[in-house]
Amino acid sequence: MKHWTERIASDLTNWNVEEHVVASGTSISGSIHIGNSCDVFIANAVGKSLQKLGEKSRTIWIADDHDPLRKVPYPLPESYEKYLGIPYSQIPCPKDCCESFVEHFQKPFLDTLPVFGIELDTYSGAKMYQEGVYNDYIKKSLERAPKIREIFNHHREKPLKDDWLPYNPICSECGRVNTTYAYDFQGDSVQYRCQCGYNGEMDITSGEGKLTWRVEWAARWKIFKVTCEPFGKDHAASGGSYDVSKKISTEIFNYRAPYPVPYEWITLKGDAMSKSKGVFFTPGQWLEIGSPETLNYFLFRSKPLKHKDFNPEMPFLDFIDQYDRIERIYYGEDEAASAKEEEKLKKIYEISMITPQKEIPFQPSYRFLTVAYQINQSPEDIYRILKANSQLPADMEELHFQELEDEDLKKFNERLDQVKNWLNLYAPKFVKFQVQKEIPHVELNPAQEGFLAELADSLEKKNYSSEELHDEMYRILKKHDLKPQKAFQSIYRVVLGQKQGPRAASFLLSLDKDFLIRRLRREA
Amino acid sequence: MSPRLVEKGVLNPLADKEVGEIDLNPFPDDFERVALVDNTKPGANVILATLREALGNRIFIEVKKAAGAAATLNQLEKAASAELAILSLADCGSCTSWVVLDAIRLEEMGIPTISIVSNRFAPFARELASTHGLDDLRLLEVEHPIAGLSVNEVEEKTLKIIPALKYILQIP
Repeated sequence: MKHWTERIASDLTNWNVEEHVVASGTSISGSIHIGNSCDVFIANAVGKSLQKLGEKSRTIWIADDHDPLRKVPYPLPESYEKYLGIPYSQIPCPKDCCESFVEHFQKPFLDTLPVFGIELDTYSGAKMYQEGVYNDYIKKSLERAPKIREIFNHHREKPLKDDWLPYNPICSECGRVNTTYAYDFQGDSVQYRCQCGYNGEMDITSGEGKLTWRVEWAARWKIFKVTCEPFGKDHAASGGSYDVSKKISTEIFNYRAPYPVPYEWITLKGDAMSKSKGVFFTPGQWLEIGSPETLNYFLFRSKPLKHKDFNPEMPFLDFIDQYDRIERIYYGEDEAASAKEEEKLKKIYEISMITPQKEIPFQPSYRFLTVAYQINQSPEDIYRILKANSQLPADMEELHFQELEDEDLKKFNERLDQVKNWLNLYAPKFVKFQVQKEIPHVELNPAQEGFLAELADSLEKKNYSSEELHDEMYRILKKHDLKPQKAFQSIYRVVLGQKQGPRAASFLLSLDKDFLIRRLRREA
Repeated sequence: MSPRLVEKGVLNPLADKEVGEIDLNPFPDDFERVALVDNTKPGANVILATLREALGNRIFIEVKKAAGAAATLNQLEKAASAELAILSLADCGSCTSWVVLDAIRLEEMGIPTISIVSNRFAPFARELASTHGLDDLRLLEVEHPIAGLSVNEVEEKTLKIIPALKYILQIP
């Protein structure tokens, strides 16, 4: 069985090229999120699969930083509207912390990529224009403008005007690039008019302008000899960017269009991600609550055109449980539903892995840690809580915290940090609790009083496992003719000062035993 | 001289809806072996060759069968040795019946199928599949006509259905 990224790589081996170039690109119109950085992750995976097949391959990323600002990105103020239409590369840093607007938004993204094991050659679209990389392609596009118009018009209801040229100069007067219309050229000089009223001339070799997007995309394929490129489904629509650029690539630049890998967008809690509305989730945010492998798993567990929704709140715990299970299946510590399923899950895990490991990494239950961390924040105490609740793998049951291997300790601390962040950032209110230092003032009925007193006696006499304690609590509550809900409420009310809390048995075993007995007896 | 008796399967002319519904087989997450079932209608081989190209590096099992008859058991078993089957071409009354019925038999054998049907005969194909309990039999519609066209023209029509094929198969 092959993963879909391996399938693409396998198909690409039929292309008779010395080196494969897998391209990705992002418009720097705000924070780069997990939705529009999909192509980077896919390109990296395809590139690595190509290398495994013995093909020479490199992955590139182009910042579309010469494009105009179309909407003010969140969280910038409305005053940034004055930059609408201006190329990103010419807008100042919003916080004076970087050299430019582009650096401000692309740096956090690029900084996280090594953590995901992504290696890219990065390029700036603006610099490419300034350094003249596009010059020959601009000239050719101007010369072949009638043919390019014909290709565009084939997919348009309203045809382009006869004098339309596939080039947008940056207006010398207002600085905008999406309000200019080039209508004539002679040699390297293009004549244009701008919606601001300015009429001017622009030297195409000055870098102060850009090719129309679909022409630019085709030119870029040839410049970098791109053989494969993932892109959002919007570009893949019939008669859309890819179809048009493909024709331009073959008919104008005489270059075979790359192997297309369209992918579906990712929604955030059901809503389309939007940089301007602030609805997005970045790879950096992901790393706050999950390991880099889990984002790979999120992206690679289903086919690229399958819809994916991300919810960092409660569904994230299910997601991590699922990832941990697949990890156990990969290392033979758990069983899949069928041999076929096992093969599929192992393949997805393998593609998601960043550094191959011989043994299963230490994976204390994320869900359990969300409870343990609220009881005690010290890693050593949390380790003790895991031990008391049979939450450690068999080969670690006898190990003391100080005896943990460096790698296990690192994994443990990383997961604790992620859990801490999740609790602070995304945990719903009902998940949160705090063990009350003072006895909360609560009124209990006699049956509840009796239940708590007898539970304290039982805990004093014996060390329970969580299953045994669960059974014991049910034995006692039945004896006192209490409904489970009322019995558990009495525990939560005296310990947490609220009516609900985490699963009672494992929660009680996570607390200091002396403290718990005294609290149940309402002595401390 | 005694007459030679030959047993032939015939369609139920009343087209009663069969009681049992058949579940379509899901496509595997990844597949290596694809059966290309060619009923030898003009253009069927061009369509299959064009689709084959779009499916990339895989193992293709070629099955040829007569357009005006059901596939033999041998032919079906050969097709069923793949993980999925593509049947071509349904562009007339008789061949559409047999493409649909062959596809249904393959589905019953556990093999997911895609049948290439000309848009002129697609409603009939759908009705027939529904009659046999497979409302959702996967049909890919190619623009009618195919017969009488040049190889290039058939290729051009086939290229138009490739995005849909890839979408159905969930492959890039």
